[in-house]
Amino acid sequence: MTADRELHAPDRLPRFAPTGSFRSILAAGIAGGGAAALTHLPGFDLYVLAQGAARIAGLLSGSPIVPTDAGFALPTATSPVIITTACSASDFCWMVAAMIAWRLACAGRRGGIAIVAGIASALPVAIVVNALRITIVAQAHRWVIPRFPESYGHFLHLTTGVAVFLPALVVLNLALEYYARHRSCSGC
Amino acid sequence: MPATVLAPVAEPRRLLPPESILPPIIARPAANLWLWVLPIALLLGLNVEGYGVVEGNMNDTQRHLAWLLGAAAIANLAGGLLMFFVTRRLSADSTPSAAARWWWGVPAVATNAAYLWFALWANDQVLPENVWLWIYPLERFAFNQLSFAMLPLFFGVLQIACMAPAKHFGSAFGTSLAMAIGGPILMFTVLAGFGSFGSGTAVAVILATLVIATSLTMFIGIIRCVMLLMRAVQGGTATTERLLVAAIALVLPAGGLLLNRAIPFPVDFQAWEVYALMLANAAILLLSAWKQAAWPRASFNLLCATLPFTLYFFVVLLPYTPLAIFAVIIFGLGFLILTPTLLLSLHVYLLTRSARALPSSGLERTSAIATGALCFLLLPGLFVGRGLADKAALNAALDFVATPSVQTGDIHYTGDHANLQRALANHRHYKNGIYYPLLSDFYSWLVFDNLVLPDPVLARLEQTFIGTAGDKTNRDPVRMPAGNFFGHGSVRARTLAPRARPTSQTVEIAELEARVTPKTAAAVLTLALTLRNTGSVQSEFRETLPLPAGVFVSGFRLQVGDTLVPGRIFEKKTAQWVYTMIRDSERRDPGLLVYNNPHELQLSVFPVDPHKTTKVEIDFLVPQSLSTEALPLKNKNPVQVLTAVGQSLSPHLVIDHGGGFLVSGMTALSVPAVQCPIYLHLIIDRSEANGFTGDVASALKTLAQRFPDARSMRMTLANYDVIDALPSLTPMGAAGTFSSATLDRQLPVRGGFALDLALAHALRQHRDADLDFAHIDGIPARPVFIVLSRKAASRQLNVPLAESWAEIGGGLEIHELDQEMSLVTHRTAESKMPLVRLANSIRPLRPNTSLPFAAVPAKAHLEYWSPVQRAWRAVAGVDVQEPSTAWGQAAALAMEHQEYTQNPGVGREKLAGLVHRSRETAILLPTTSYIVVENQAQWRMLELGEKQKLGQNRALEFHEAPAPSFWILGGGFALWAWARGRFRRRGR
Repeated sequence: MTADRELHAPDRLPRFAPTGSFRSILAAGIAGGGAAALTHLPGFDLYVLAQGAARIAGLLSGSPIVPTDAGFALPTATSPVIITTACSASDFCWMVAAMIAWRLACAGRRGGIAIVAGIASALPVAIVVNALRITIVAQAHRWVIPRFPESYGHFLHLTTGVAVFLPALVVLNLALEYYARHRSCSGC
Repeated sequence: MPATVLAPVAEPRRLLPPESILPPIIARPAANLWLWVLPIALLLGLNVEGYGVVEGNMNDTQRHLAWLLGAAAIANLAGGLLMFFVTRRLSADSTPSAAARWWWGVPAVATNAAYLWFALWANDQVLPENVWLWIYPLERFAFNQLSFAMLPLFFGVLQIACMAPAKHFGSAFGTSLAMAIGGPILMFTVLAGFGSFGSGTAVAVILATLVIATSLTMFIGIIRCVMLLMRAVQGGTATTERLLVAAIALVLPAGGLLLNRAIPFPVDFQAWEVYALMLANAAILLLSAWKQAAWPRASFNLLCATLPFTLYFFVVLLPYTPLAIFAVIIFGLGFLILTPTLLLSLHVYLLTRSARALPSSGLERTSAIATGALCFLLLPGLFVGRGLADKAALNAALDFVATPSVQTGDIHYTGDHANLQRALANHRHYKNGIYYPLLSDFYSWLVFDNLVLPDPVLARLEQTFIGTAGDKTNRDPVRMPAGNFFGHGSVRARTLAPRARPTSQTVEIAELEARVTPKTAAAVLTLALTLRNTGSVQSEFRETLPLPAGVFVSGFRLQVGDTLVPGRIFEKKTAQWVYTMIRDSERRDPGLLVYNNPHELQLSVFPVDPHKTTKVEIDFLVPQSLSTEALPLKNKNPVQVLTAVGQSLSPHLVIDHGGGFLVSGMTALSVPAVQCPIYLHLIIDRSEANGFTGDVASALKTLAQRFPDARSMRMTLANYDVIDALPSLTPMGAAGTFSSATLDRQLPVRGGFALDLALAHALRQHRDADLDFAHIDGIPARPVFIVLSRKAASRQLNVPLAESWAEIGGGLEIHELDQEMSLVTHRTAESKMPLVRLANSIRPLRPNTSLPFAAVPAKAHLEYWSPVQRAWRAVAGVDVQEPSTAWGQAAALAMEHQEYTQNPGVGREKLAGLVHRSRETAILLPTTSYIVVENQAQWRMLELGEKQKLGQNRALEFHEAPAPSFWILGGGFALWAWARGRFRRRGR
């Protein structure tokens, strides 16, 4: 009981591992690299990442998914889009994997667990956020992008992508940071 | 503002300081941004959008007034911003007292009352008369102004009403009550005596000023009364408070809804959901008043959960609150129009009190507020979630039924059947249900981008996926049987669609001229029709014109005033909608030329004034030279002229990269007919209502006796899915056994029966396997379709998709055999017909048809089957055109369109692409129209309507959606991390 009290005393709070510790950076690197290697497996980015995102985006936009030579088309979305390997968000996926592994390692999780959890949870996160991006891009193509000169199209398209991915990364980072702090504070 | 902690209801009460009368969230300077600047910015956006639509029809005076109105809205917006900065500055210097703060509401009231006055005065002057009826109705303009400008006005009224009360409750309440009652009485007195004051601008200005002043006085009085009462009951007994809450949350809304039964203003709210939510809301408000001290968090969350309900009715009725004073004077009970305002005041008051009672420690409070926010989003989230689920299911089903992919292999509906059944039931309820302002519009936008799902299409969806179509019966127990007082009960009324008005048909052709312009390997025949109305009222000219195969429409002009205005090509349904709107609403000058079917045009011109003439010109692209002397112009009958053109056409062939396209000519080629062998294609009905559950072997025996010439067969199972049971031609005796268990395993009995899709699928199988890439020297067998069902009956078969494929197969022969082995014949086809072949692609040949062939070498020759020599022989007398000529391009476009018609789901070009190409080449297609309208706003409505139609369910082009790279994301994230660190260091 006394030991518990000491552990929870405000002046004795164990600091969670510094964010730049070698162990956590190593875990982040391995998880990021592992996820990157996974996304480079033949067909993985198209049939797992792109198809998964296309299916969710199809649900959100009320469009069926039509497989084409290049990828998966959403022909009846607000503005028809085609999801190819370039749209699979593989970069985002491995960034998420690295971030999750890094934060978990910082929170004191064992390296192996952090890496596996990072890679495993990066896939659904990347697919869902990418689906959201595709849906928003389709809406932007319908409502916003046509109002600008055609030459702005690519830039606006990219900006829309950044406007979804960047806040998603920031929110994920804040949530993981909160988790790490909370976990350290409760003495786990 | 000094911190004020309210005592729980159960504890001894004390009179609260004056500040507590105004909800703190409204007292903050930022409220100016949310309740003033934001609504006015939205209003400005809507006005600019409206200006874009009608600007072309405005004269200089109207344009000047529109700019003034825009300037007024900008000034209003600037006023809101200015008040934000001023109040923020004042709040930063010192906390102003309530006594000093009441004037903060005056600018909002003054500015917005002035703006509304100006906007409503300018209403019918700023909008051109020719847009009033359907393009931009006056009601829509006024509703927009009232909806958005009333919000800051109410915000100002609330601030003024919550001014520091007098020290004595009695005198403060008495004064407020006098204001609430005095306003209508004064107004009534003035109105009663106004007849003697005469009329004129000065009187109108005085009257308008009086309406605004008395309305504001009444509002301020009522709101102040409520606020004072609320504040007072905190010092009184708990019973008093509960009685007051019951009165505002239950008695007044119930009274309002009952009054709404008699006077459905502004719309009919009589639905069980509204009553249920009203009761739930009242229960929650009472619970909050009763148990707020014991259950602060539950009370706060529940209040948050029903706040959207209260807010919704407040927003819906807010634009009509200026009518409250008249409602009070005329109906007596009209004060109930103010119930949503009172209810919102009570709800916000209780919510504020609950929020104050929440735990004050940081994290717990944050978590409580986050939960409250989630509860607030519960009702909107459920509504949006249901809408999105409906959208996904209905759009997938609509695609499956309206634009099916007639593909090789099995055809499956990929969506979830149970989810679709729920969505169809939801949508049927929505269509048969009542119109909820804003919510119904939002649902319509969310699910179908504001397009309406017509009843026949909804019924078709239900028939295909459920088996039976729903009806229009409304099963809501509290729904009023009669329509709405203000006529917004039906989709037709909501979309401002006029009822079809019968038009007089007394227009005749007074003159008919023909001109021929030679082109390379083709000619353009222009028919100029002078129309004269022999009747005494405005009349419509409607004429169906035959269109020979191989002749295309390449131009259309209509006389408007003294000039011939060239028609423009638009998507057909959009143009038909606009034509109907103009004809039935405005009765002005539209002209429309569309296809009725591939061989017939429909020309419509409206109006032709009595005893006046008007002129129409149509250009026809013909694949060979023509002479006007040979055309029968004397009878002034364009039908005879076009028939003569068709009869003079010889067969023409064009071969491009997409395939061959043969136009057979009116009399066809003189090649001998051939008796084709037959094979049976069994389509086994697996629908719930009429699915075949009998013995397939017995059915095959019966069919072998009835069709002794059939040597082979194919078999398909179909409900809304289409499954190939025997995709290859199989000898009749070797079909194997198909027990009921086998059928159930392959395709269970459920849903409706997509016969059209099953037939089209079977015809595609026939084309791909038997007609194209045929390396045989003989001739292919033709299919005879046999539908196996539980009970066969004679009925009209509606199979448009299969009919579009039928020309390839030489017609549709359909019989139906039921479990009792009785055979019903639905359609028969000719057993003998000529066969032609281009490379390895074989087609039956009929007069006046356009036949597409598979991709063939550019130098392929056309051959026919000689039954005497039993060999393919070359056809003479076919004119081969180059694909680069004008006619060659038109033929290629027509071939693409034919492909699209046959396979709308995976056609090489989708509808938007075809419309685009049709517009580029000026060639009319069956899915486009030539239309001439009178003014700029009508053209603009056409463009907007077409964009909406094409954007909804069709594709012009696919956008690839590449994700941003690591470098961009990594850079952005690093920048954020750096900025965050810097901000934190500064904070320390």
